[in-house]
Amino acid sequence: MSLTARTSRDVLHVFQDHLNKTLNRTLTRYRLRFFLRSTKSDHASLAFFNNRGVAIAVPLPPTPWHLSINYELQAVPEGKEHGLKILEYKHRLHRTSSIDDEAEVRFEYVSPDIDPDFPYSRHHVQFHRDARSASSDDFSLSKLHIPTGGVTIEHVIRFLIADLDVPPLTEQWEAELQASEERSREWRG
Amino acid sequence: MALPQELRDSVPSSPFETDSDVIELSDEELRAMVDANAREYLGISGEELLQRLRERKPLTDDTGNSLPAWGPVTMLARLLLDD
Repeated sequence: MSLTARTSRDVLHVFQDHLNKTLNRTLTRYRLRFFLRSTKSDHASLAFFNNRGVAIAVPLPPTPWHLSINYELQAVPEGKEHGLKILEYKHRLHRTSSIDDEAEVRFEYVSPDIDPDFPYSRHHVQFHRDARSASSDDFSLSKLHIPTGGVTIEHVIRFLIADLDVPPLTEQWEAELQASEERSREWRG
Repeated sequence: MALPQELRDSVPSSPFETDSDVIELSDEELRAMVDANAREYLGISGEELLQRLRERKPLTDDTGNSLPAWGPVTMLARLLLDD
């Protein structure tokens, strides 16, 4: 069952409420705030903000970790209702409250609406540039089971070509991968 | 340009703020907020950020990577871009 609501604002609100309930029941009492432009209320940006309206990473005591979450959302008409499209998300773990400090680990997604030419895996995980040397008892890349979501063969092929510079067998490699992904989606129903 | 009332309130006594999770901003309020975030984290004005966003010219470090705050701040700034 997909998430739908009567108005564009309602569907954005339902999703935000769901995220805050989950966060507040499991991890932190800070709440994500959700900003809309009054003249374009089907588009929203969601994050933790301080009282000056500056985005922050919130503390997760007693650990040294801080969490920042950003979602860019679009409400889209679905029949008589409105559904929700996630345009981009960023879930980041930092060692300070400043989002300007490079995250130790970040789980991110970039939709085709945001960047149609993004050549990398749209769902991906990235680490601090010093991750290997910074490995410690509380953050060892060889020990942690870092969540990724399902990784398909197409994802792995895209990673090898776009990130590791393995030469593709055809210039149409992206179109070939998209066709393969579409076929897999049809099989899954 | 003024920040919206919800963001000018004094620091809350607890991190719970259930009455102001959804904030609808006028263009002027949103520009002020984007400007505050751009100056805090990127060292540029909100207008310069929007210009860079339109031209797809992210602010990068000496290794060519986008600055860590570039992504989160632009996700807010994109609300101001017209389709």
